[in-house]
Amino acid sequence: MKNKHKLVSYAKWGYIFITPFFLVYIIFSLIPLLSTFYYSFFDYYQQGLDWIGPNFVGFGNYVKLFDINSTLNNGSLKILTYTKNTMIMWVLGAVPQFIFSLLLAVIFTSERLRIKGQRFFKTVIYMPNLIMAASFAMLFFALFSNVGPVNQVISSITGEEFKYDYLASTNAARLLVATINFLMWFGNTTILLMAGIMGIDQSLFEAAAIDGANSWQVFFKVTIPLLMPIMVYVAITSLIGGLQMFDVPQILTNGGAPAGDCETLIIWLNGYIGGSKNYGIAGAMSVLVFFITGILSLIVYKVLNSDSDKPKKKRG
Amino acid sequence: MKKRILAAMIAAATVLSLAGCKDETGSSGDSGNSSSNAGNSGTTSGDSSGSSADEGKKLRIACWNYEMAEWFDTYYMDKIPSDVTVEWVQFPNADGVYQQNLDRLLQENEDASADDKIDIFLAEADYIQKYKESDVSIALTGIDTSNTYKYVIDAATDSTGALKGVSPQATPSGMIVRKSIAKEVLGTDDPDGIQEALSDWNKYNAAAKTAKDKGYLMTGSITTLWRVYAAGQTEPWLDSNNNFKPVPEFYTWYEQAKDFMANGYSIADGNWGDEVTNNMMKDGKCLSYIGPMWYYAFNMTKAFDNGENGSSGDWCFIQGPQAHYWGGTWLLGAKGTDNPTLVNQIMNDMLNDEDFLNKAADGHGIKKRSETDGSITNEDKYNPLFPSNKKVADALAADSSKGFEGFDGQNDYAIQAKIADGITWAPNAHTAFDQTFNEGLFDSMILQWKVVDGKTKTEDECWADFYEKLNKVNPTATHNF
Amino acid sequence: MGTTHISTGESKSSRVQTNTARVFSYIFLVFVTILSLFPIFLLIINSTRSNAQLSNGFSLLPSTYFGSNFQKAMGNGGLLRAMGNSLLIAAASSIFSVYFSAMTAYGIHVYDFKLKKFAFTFIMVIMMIPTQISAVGFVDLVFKFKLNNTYWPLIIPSIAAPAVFFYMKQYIESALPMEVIEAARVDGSNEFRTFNTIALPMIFPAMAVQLIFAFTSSWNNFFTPALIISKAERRTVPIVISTLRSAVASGGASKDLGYLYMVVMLAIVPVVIVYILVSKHIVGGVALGAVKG
Repeated sequence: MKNKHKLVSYAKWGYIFITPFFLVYIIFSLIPLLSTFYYSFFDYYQQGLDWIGPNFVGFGNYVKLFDINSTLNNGSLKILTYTKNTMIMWVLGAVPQFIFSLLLAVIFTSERLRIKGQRFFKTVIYMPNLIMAASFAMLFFALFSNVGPVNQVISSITGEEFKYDYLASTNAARLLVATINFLMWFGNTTILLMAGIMGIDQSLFEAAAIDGANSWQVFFKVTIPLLMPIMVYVAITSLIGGLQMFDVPQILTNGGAPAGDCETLIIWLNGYIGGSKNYGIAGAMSVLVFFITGILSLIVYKVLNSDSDKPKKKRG
Repeated sequence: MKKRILAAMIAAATVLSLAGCKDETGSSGDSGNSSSNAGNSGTTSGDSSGSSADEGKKLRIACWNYEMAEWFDTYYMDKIPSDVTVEWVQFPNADGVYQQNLDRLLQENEDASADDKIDIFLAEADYIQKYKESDVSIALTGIDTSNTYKYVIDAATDSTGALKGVSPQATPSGMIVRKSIAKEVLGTDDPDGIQEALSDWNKYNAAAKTAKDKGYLMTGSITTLWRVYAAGQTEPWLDSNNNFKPVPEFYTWYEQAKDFMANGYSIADGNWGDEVTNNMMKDGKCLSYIGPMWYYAFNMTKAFDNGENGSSGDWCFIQGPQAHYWGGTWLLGAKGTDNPTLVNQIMNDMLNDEDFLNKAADGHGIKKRSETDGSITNEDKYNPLFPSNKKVADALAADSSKGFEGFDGQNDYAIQAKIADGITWAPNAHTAFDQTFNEGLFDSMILQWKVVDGKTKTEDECWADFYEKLNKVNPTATHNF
Repeated sequence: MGTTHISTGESKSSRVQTNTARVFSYIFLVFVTILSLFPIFLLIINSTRSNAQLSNGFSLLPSTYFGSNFQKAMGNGGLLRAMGNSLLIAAASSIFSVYFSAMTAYGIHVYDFKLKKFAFTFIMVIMMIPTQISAVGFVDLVFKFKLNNTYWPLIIPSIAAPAVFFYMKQYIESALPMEVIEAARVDGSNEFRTFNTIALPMIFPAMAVQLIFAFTSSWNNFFTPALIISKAERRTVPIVISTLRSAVASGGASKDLGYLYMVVMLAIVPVVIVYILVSKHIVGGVALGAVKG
């Protein structure tokens, strides 16, 4: 009797403790999220000094975004272009990032190799993560400028003046963005993968060894499959982060040069919120980015995870 | 150790929040009264006539660079009442950032606190149309315009006939010619002779070929060439239905540009492009640049200031094949200002204070403002201004001892005064979006000649690039072109 | 920290294999180290050289222009003020984030209430939503309530930080036994007091780690502040860098490379120094959270 009484009264504390979080979330995230979706159905923009709208236009903004001949697209589907740019730069960075990180994780956790000075190395590879993307981009801007150190070194090696304009070349600029992303995140990924490897039950390795498996087989047949949950987590968070790419290309290329080839979805979106204000179109764009994020995440999840294991639900 | 770090962070946050967060006086970081800098803070003045008792004590002026602030600081501050501080609020001009921020400030201006209010804002010729027709600018009173070039007044007069702004500056524009290269290409390095050799477009285009044969460019930037034609525009870029159609002058430029770029007579870049700037220097290969006084005093600073690597003394100014004007900075009064009397005084002085105008036209000893945060430095700068007051301009034109330093004795005022007399501001040729047209359109067009990764864009892609820009500032604009 | 234990009998050939692998591993590690550190090394060196020197040639040796570059970059304190602003926002945000995430995680872990499962799942779901998607509505809200150019919209939302919450929840599950809480109740402590005086100290390691992450992420945040801050003296560091970048692009600012490097260095170095001081906690902390996962 006494216990039941206590249980009930404690339950209310649960609500109290989670209230700040939910209150703040509702006000500053949920309501804005809903109003973003709401505005996507309206014409609501600034023209010169005047505000036009909000005027209900149903799916008008979405039509504009998908109509290849609308004044928004002018002959080429912008949403496709910018998604493509974003994905290209993400993949260019994420693939080496993943490979490096996996390699490093294996090296660090291998008992056989017994690498010394691990703490030093881990500290070093994690450091770029803390450096502001904006600063990193600015630094690379200076390093790779026409008369920057990189060109100077190449000049002194080849003996001829080498003044390649990296930021004027689509491929070079995108690679630079990818490189910065890679440097910023590979430390984080390494440590996550390491934790994943260490979480694998050691008896499995011993069993494999007893069965006569060599290290390659152990790696591919034991380590990788058991790392799947973590790898999926890494892949999806990396993808979501990649889709949000903004700081690095914005600062490095000052908005997407050359000719918009480094312009990402979010740079495009930002142009309609921070620059000229068009809440209607920006709202529709946000909704689309939301769906693109969801769909791509689902694809990655399905591809990497054939047997749908749902660890999260178990914990609830 | 961990606890100490956490405690330190909390302490720091508390201290900073008490010190910084509640500061609502809104003193802009780029204020002229930044304290720790050596040198005159340039805010107050010694003028005995105090300000009107019920007016604000802070005069805030919105601008996109500090050029006007520098003239103000050095030559005008003694006319500002001693109890008023002047603050310059700056946003960069590129990508429309200045206009975006200015719009917001002006729309909130009536409700803003006294110290936050914008009192005066600057506008360029490219967008004065937008601000003068709007009610965010106030009609000025008591302004004597009898000595001012008419176009300067017309540009700032709205469709009801109210004068909304003034400018101390007129911008008659021409060609800045490299004398040593002119000698080779045209056979003379005397300004009159050069003018004769380039007095119409046929001669100009022929000279371009000669220049190329001798290994020189005719003109620095192909987009700037547009400005010569822009001044003669009689129709607006947008018709009354908000439909975009290129004006006839555009085609004139385009034909010439295609020819020039195909033959390599110019560079597919804008004013600030690296190559364009490099060609002004000692080893530069460019015969001429287009521009008014502010262009060579400001954009060409590197060429004239660079000692060994520069080319000072090797230039002269001529009218060229077509007289025109380019740009200009107007001051407009902001609605909601709490300093109306002072604003009108300043406006009137900008047009008529001969002391100020003569000093600004002379342009020596200007205290440079820092590029990082606009604070006044100890560096000196030379930046003369061509006055909008005809009386002052004519006096300068007649004085043979006057002239831009880098022109080795030539009196550039004389030529420009003549051009200024003939400038008209076409009443119906301007829209609120002219910056997008006069700059954005041409930046897009040159993409068909600008090589990126070994490729250039097609003409259609250039138009698409421009339409995207247009759509951002004017979402309902249509184009059937 | 444990490493995977493969007990194989070592034959000579496998020992050679192992050693070769070790050599390659060390080479690889050194390569990665250089990759990570070299840009920063160059940054420091180049911030001591003048623009003329930088344009003329590459050098691995520092020069003597640190002072003059420093003065130029400091301008009249614009950068310093931005750093102060960033510090304020980051400190406040991270403290709020960590404290309230701990509180929320504690609430969901310790108490049994009807919406418990829903609450948890809800937070997991919103963790996946990029913040930029609600930017339109967020900006609208901020301007409507005239909160632009204030720091409230940047600090208050950090109270609801799903990722930090998740980490805390994991840690609390393993580090905070219910017996302790029940004992406190028996002793007459009310729930808030229990949380603040007993639970928090026990999960302090996790909080410290998340504090550092939250601080850094707020310090580095560019997108959100850029949308709502326009007054020059309220700018944060990333905004200053962005302004500088567009000024260089439009030719407004002279492209003085020494000055550029110095600005970047001033923006980065404080964080790097703090990092080096607390690095062992960070590296340990990331693993901690992941292992529990």
